[in-house]
Amino acid sequence: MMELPHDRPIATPEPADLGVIVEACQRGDREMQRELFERCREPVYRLAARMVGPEDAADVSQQVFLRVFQGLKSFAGRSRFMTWLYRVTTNECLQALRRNRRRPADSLSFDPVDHRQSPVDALPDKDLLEAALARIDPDLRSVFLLREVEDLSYARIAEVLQVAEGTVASRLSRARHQLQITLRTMGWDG
Amino acid sequence: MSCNTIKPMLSAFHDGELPPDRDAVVRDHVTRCVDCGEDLARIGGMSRMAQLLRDVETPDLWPAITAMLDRPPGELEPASRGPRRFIEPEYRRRLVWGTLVTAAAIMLAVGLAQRPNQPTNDHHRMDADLARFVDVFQRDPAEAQRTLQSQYTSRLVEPNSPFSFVNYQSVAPDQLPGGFRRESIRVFDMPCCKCVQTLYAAPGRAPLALFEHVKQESDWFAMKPSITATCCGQPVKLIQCGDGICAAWKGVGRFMTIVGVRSVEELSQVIAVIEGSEGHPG
Repeated sequence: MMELPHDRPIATPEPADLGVIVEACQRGDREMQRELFERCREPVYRLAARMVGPEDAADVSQQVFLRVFQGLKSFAGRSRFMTWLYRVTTNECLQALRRNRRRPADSLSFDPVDHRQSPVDALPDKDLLEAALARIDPDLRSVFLLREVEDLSYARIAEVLQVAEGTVASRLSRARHQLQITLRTMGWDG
Repeated sequence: MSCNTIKPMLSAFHDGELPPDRDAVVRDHVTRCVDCGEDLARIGGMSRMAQLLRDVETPDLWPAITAMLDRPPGELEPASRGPRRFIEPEYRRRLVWGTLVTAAAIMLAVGLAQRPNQPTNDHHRMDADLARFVDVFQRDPAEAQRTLQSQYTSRLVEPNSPFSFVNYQSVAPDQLPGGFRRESIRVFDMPCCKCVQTLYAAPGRAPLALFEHVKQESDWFAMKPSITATCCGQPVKLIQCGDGICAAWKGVGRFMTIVGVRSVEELSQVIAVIEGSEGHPG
């Protein structure tokens, strides 16, 4: 069945007052730091939860905000704040995953799965996709999440990851290909 | 244009990110090619599934973040220590049990290794007091509690009170596995921070004590031998105390310590309930 691109909602633009809040945070204003945290906690935690899993998402999010508040003084505003925030979050997630890989116990992280007996067919789509995402390369996972969940354009993702837009396109294509294969092995009939 | 040329462009076509000339070529191709049209439909299907990932319950990490920000420069903890895992829920339980059984076997077979960590002077007394509390709590809970209350200022609080003076809501549930019911909640002024202690009682059982605190300037029970196991996907420090176990782990936005559980199986159930209750006022 043919499907043509649907009209995607335009990603929420960065609110004008975010710059004011960021400036106040740069001066160490604790109330504004709280305000910035409240505004940004959801995208940070959401990305972390999908990247590293819910057990580690809180730790990673906490570290992201520490890095942000510590690094705000040197944030020159050359990129949009949210772009920088996504960059810090993505980097923290990838670092956390690298740390995990170095630990001997990590061989258990992806337990062998007998798909014939696994009741994946009964899994809701959300759980199915989460399980499939956990099985693909983290670099590809991050591109997929930034696009599909955070709704960033290729140009913004390229800024976040500091790669060329063409690289974003090829990684996203590979991510979707790998996801499709993984989902099919899990019983997805899409 | 062949399918081999079109297929790598389907992803960007779906996202509306192709230049107009290529977009037109792909659009024309997929209207005629069933195979590529199906590939595009699958990309669309995954995209719709991904929208379901947008909703997420975000824990309130602000108390933990401010606690870290308030530390002197250079004392900030790394975000994570100990093993990290990303495991689908259906496999996590198997892993937890396997790990805990292994941990129990290690504890029984080779005893507990001495930790080299030494508490700082500022917190030496607190560590020693807590170590004594754990030891005494196993054989005489009332005495252990009386001693702790004599050593540190504390106050009883009502369940579901705003806990404004500790800047966070307790996550201690009303009940714990094994028939334990919450008896009291008390906030202690400890050297590290204000610490919430919840006591649980069950018929025919010694009580349990659950501590919550947001700062960990010193390693609780650093002077006692311990091992680390993984429970509910996170590292848990286990200390053998008489016939019971004391366990400490890092929950969402705070550190948790439970004293008095009898077995690793019970500990696993208790931690699962406590961590499952996070975010919900106890």
